[in-house]
Amino acid sequence: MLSVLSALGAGFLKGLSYIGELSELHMRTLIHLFRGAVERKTTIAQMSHVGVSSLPIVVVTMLFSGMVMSYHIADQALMLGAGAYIGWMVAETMARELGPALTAIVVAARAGSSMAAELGTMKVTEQIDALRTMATDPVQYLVVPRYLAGMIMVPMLALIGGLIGVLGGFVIADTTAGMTAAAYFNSIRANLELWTIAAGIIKAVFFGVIIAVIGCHQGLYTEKASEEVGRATTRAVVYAIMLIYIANLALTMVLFP
Amino acid sequence: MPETENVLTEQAQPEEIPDDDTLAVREIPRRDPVDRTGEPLLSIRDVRREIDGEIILTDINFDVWPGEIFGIMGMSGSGKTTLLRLLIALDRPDEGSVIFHNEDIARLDEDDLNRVRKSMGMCFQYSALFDSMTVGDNVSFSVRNDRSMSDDEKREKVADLLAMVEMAGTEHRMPAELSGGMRKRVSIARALMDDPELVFYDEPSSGLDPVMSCNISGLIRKVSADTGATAVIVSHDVDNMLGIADRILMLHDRTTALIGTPDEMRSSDIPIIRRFVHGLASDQMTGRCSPR
Repeated sequence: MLSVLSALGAGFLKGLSYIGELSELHMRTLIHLFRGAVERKTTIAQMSHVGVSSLPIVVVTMLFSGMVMSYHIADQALMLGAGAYIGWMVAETMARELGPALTAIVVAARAGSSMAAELGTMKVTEQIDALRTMATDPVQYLVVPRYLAGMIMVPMLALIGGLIGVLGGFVIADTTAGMTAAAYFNSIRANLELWTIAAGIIKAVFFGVIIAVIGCHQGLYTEKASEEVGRATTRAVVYAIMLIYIANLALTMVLFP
Repeated sequence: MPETENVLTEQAQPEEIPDDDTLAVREIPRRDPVDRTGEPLLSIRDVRREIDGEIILTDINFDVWPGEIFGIMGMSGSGKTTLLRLLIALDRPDEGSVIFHNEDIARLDEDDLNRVRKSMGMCFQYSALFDSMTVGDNVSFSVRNDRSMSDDEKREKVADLLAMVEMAGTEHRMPAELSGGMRKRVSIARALMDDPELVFYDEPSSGLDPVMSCNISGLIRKVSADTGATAVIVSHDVDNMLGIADRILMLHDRTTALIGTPDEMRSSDIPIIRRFVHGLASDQMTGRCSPR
């Protein structure tokens, strides 16, 4: 019994310590940002890595997710006599949930893991120490560009992904329910509120920050052993996805009260 | 990895680079004694460091004077690298002071440390070159945002430093294309980019064959002579250390066993020093590098 309590206590303390480290890293990143200490070339390279390089997998994921969703919605909507709303229902779901959340999960798996692996390798090979000895703060040089890249590119990917999903939904609505393009897109124009799109983008901004902070934290705090880089990479993806789901609930309750 | 930084490599012309294996064994030049009457550049006072409750270093005291080549020796696990990390403020002591230019750097915050670190250079055990940058961008990294220098001046300085370490014309090459010895030489050039007063070398001969290790030792002495920079070398390579250092600190049992010149080390009666200097070293392994 005592050992169970001891293990629970240790786990709780470890969790608190992890939250403390994440908060400190986030705070130091924000301080550099407010000071305007941004490495432009590195930031642009990271935006390309997080955004442009993730685009193909986001497009494929969202296209087929939009198609599957439209297939299910069309079936139900036609039964209920609400076929005219298929376009709106697909677009609403894409803007509120699937666009930001699915995109963030794809980016966490692709770019978040790569952030942890890159920074972890740099830690193990003393490149992070080398940065410090050359009077360069690793947070400013490595984390700030990735933070900005996540914060800017994940919302853009979510927006593009949402659009692709809506288009995929139309293909299925057209072929299975015989819906015309005019009817599909008119139902979106008439019913989808601008706030819904804005709220989805706000969510994606938070998700981008979560991916960058967790990925960079796992890399910077990697133990100095090569097998630790692999573990840090896995943890970066798992923790980011878990936190994205938790944040998604919290943000949904705040943004759609 | 850090991204490729700038255009410093654009005008670099590839040259014939001496291969590590074909380099002749370098004779290490003798030096005049260093003047130790003035203010020391670096003073360590009563330093103690514990990690996870275990004492790694205790009661460490020594001074390093300007222009000196100061060696730190000891068995594996004796705390050499921990001490080096304290000296360059990558780590902080639990007790004691690390005084550089009359300032206790163990008490400085990161912003002030970055100011102090501009006067220091560091060569890491495995070079720690940035994999995704060219040699030229690695060397010029510390001045990448320095607007007091034009791109041409930066290019020129990088070329000069690479020439000094016998790596002229390699600006465009990637670290992965270089051998261990070449990477060490590039890391020395990188450490010198800010004209440091003090350069730290962590195990400079580690992972190198005896010939290349000897060449690197000669290069360290040459660099110190050419730039006037003070050097602190951490190594367990007795032969090379006795060959190039002006004074050596021997770490044993978590503290200082002896600080002395190479001759004092050789003639010491302290058992651990005798065992380390006479028992483990072999002239046959290092040839002409370190007359003992």
